[in-house]
Amino acid sequence: MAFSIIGIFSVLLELIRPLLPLLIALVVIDAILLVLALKRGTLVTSGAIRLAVLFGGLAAVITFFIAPAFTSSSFANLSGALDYLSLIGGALGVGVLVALLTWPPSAFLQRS
Amino acid sequence: MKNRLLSMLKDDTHIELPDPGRRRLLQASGVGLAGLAAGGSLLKSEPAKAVNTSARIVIVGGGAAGISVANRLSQNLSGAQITIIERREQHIYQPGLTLVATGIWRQGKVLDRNERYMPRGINWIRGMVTEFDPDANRVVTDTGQVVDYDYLMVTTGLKVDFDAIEGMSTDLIGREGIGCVYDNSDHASRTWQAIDRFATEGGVGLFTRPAGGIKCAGAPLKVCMLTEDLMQRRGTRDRGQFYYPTVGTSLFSQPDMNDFLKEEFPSRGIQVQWNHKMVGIEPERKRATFETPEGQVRLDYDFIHVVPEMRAPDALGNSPLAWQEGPFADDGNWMEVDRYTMRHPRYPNVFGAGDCVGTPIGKTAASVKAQVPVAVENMIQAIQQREMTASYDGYTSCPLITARGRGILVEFDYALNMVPSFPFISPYREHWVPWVMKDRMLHAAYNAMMRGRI
Repeated sequence: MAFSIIGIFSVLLELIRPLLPLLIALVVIDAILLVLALKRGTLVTSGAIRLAVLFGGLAAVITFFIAPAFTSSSFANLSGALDYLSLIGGALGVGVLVALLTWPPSAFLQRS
Repeated sequence: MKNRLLSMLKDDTHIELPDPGRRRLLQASGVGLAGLAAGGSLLKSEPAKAVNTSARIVIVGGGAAGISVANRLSQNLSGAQITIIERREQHIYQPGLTLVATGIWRQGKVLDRNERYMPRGINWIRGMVTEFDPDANRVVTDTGQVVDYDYLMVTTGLKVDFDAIEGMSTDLIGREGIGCVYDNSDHASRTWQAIDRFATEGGVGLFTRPAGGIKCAGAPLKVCMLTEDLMQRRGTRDRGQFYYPTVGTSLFSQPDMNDFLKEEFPSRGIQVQWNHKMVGIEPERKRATFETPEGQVRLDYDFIHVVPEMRAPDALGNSPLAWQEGPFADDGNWMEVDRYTMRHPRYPNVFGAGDCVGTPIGKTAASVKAQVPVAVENMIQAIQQREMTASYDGYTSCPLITARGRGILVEFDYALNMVPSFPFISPYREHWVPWVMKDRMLHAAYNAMMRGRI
C-alpha cells in the first residue's frame, strides 16, 4: 500500500484536526512576534537562538523519555533499531518544532 | 434480461460494456498494476478534472466504505446524481473496538457522526434498503421508498449473526461473563466490564473463533492476547486459564503469522482447541456448547468472548446480487463481485466494496482503503465507456496487537504474500512502532480515507 505526499499530509491534517484552532492561534501569535522581532532587529541574535535551542533541546529530551508512556506503552516494549530510531526521530522532530515555535517569542524578549 | 439491461444502459447513459472475455483479459492485465491502482500511489494518475455525467448513482450503506465512495465520486464526477442510503447518524470507528473492549481506549474515542464526512451536494436518504432489484435497477427502503439508479455501489457492511448461537443474545454482553467486541461500541464497552472482572477474579477464559469470513479476523486473537497481557500487568495471571476454541486448524490465514501465533499462544499459556465450533450458550450455568469432530462438548467458563458467524445483511444475501453457489454463498451469502475489478459479474452496472463482498480475504478497514479506489475508478471508467483498468490485489492489513504497547504490522494480499507498506517495519517481529500506529495514527488515516483523500 503506497501513500502519496498529499495522502500523508491528509493523514497529518486529520491527526492534528482536534488541535487545529489552538495550533493556528499559536502560529498567528508566533508570526506577529516574528514581525515585531524583525522590526526590532532581535530575530537573529545569539540570545534568541540560544533560548530557542534550549527549549527545543529540553522538549526533545522530555519527549524521548515520556513518549513510550504517552502511547500507553513502556521502554520494555521497544525492540531493536526500528523502535529506538523512531523514538529518537520523533523526539528530534518535537524538539525542532518547539525550537521553531519558541524562536519568535525568544527573539521578542531580547533587548534591541 | 442481460441484453435488455445492456440496451437500457446504453440508451440511458451511453455505456459500452466490455464483453466478459475481454473483461477477464483486462482484469488479468490489471493485476500487475494493483500496487498503483489500489493505494493512491505517488505515481497514480488521478483524473485531471471531474468527469461530466448525468448518471444516477446509488450507494447502499454509509459506513467507512460507503462514505469513502461518496467522497471519491463527488470529487471525480460533475453533474452526477449521487444518493447514499444509510439510516445511522452515528459513525463507529470499528478498528478501535478491540482497544475499547480491553480498557485501553474509552468508548467515546470511537464515536463520530456520519454527517461530518458526507460530501456536499449528495442526497442522503435516512433509511435502510430492504430489497435489491437489480433487474429493474432499483432498490426499496424500509420506508417503502423506491430508488432507481443507473449505477449501484453496494457497501452495506455485514450482519453479525448472534442468532446462530443458541441461547445467545446481545443483551447478555457484559453479563454472566459474556463479552463480544463486535457490532458496536456499546458491546465493546460492556465487554470491557466483563474482562475487567475476569482479569481481577480469574477463572476459565474461553476466546472463540467462528467459521467463515468475519470482519477484522485478528480481533478475537487480539482480545485474547490483550486480556492475557492485562492479567500479567495486574499480577493475576496465575488465576486465569486461557483457552482458544477455534474452527479449523489454523489461527491466521497468512502462513508466517499462523506459525508465529502457533508458537506465541502456547508460550503464554493459551491452549488452542482446534475444530471447535461454538453452537450454544447457557448463560445461567456459564457453559458453552461446541461442535467437534468427536461430537458436541460443553465447556464451563468464567469469561467467554463470543464471536458469532457473520454474513451479508438479509436484504443483500437473499437478493440476486449474492453469490448463488460456491463457498461465498455457503459461507455467508456474500455479494458476488469480480475479486479484481469489484464489479458484479452478472449485473455490470453494480459494484461492491467493504465487508459485504465475497472475496477470499480481508474484511478490514485496510481492505476498504484498497478496494474503494478500485471500485470507484472502474465505475467511472464504465460511465465513460472506457475499459476498466483498476485492479484490487486483495490487500488487507492487521496491526496484530500482541500486548499493550507492542504489535506486528501484518499486510498481505490474495496470494498471502506479505506486502509491507513500510519496508523498514518487519512484518515478522513485534515492535513498538506498529502499536503507536494503531494507538495514534490509524484513526487519522481512516478519517482521511473516508474523506476520499487516501
